[in-house]
Amino acid sequence: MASELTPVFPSSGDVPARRVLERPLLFGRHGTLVGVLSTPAQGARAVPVLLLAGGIIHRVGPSRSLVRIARSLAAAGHPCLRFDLSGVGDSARAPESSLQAAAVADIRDAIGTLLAQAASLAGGDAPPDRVALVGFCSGADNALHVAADDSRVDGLVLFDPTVHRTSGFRRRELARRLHSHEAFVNLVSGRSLMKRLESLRERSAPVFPPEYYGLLSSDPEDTDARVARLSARGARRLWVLSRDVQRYCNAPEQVMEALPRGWRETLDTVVWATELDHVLSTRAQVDRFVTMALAWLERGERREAA
Amino acid sequence: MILHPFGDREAQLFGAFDPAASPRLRRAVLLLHPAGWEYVRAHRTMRLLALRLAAAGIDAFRFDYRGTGDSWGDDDESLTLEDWVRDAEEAAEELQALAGVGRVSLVGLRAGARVALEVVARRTVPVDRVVLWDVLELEQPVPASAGNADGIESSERPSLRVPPGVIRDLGRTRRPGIAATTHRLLRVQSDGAPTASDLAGLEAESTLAVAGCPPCWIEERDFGAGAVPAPLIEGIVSWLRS
Repeated sequence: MASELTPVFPSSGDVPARRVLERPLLFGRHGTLVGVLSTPAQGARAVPVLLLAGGIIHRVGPSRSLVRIARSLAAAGHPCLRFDLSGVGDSARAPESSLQAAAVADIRDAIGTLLAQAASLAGGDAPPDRVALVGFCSGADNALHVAADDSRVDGLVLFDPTVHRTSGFRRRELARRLHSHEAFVNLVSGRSLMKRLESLRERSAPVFPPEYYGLLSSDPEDTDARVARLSARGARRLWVLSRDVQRYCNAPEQVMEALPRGWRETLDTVVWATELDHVLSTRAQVDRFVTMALAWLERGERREAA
Repeated sequence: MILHPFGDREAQLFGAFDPAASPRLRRAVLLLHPAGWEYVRAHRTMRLLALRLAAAGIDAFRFDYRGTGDSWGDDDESLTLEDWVRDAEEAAEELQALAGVGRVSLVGLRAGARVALEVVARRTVPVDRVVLWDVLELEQPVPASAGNADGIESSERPSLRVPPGVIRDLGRTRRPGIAATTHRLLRVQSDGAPTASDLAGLEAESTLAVAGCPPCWIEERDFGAGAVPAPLIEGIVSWLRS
């Protein structure tokens, strides 16, 4: 059930009041997905954006970051939908047999709903037929997984997605350790060997169920193949990596290293955003992310127009 | 569930109404969320409580205070506890209209329990029963941050981001007098949850505590969701049905 559009007044200094309308939506193939649509009060002329939250935090995001991002993008002209996957937040568990199948269907439903809502706002203009996905953490993995096979997606902003470890990662990590005083002390004292043995013991103890967190995370080859499919149809990617990814991604070039078939200089942009943490825990960080995403989306629209 | 934004058209609040299944008991319960990070962790529990109430024949309404969740407003310095109490009163009136009842019951978790106490004390809304669940302790109210000076606890555990005005006001509330009111009162205590010492003398009709039921507003692992305390939920529903 959708309520009528209502005005929202973000009090953020850079989001002028009376520029965003919001309404909650119940949508999807079972009518059980709960989302909130944010739209520009006047003229939704920019590409619609679907936000995909990470983990099992519901659609507001950690520290309410997704609310602020959606309203900021809408104020800049992008109709924007954020929603709960089946079984998360306010959305009921779907009857599909697997969580993965439900998540893929949910995201496809959300893309369809967003396009339909954006079309109703287009007025005399041609209705949009493409969306951009903006995913956070496991939401970024979900975005990449679905977008590869959904031609309605022509842009992806991936905030702290899985970036698989590469030989470059291991080389840089080794170099870091060789230059580390602490590592040298550990090696001489034998503590390194003890730590390695401990980690091998821990590795044998299963902790999480298979569907624990990264619902649609793929292995290295599959991820590369999916990015290659996106490249084949010219879909752009913005990779934003916060300072908290460094335990699995220790340099911006690792994204390129991990995608031997999919990477394209003309389509991929990596931002090594050490000023951001994984949950965008301050307002300034959220605003910085919005600025990056908006600049990238606008570049895509200029390219399209040209 | 019916998504039900309400309130001033220029400052709407997000509400979710779960209508009672048949046979309806003609009772209605307003759920009052905790604040900050506790709100995120407890969201699933509050939703399931609403669903269980509805299945038991009781209308249930949840909403987000202004500056929280999907509601209007930013979590900025201007928000006060008074704002949230007025939001709760408005939500209670909305629930009266939706459910067609004269009185409502309140279930408040953590900071929500403090809001419930304020609503009861102000007597602007007819309230019959009150459930106070792990009432937020005032000696150490919800911290704006337990971390460094710029308000970040750490990358993995972000600031609770509770509006500072609300934190300040919570520290000033003292409502031991609720015991003198005529409301039926249930106190719910999760296993290991701190107790609010200013309410130590508060006489409740009943107390619900189940060993091994952890607080739903904390979490064992850092993924943003607390455990769902099914026995406490069933106990609350059972008491509200009785």
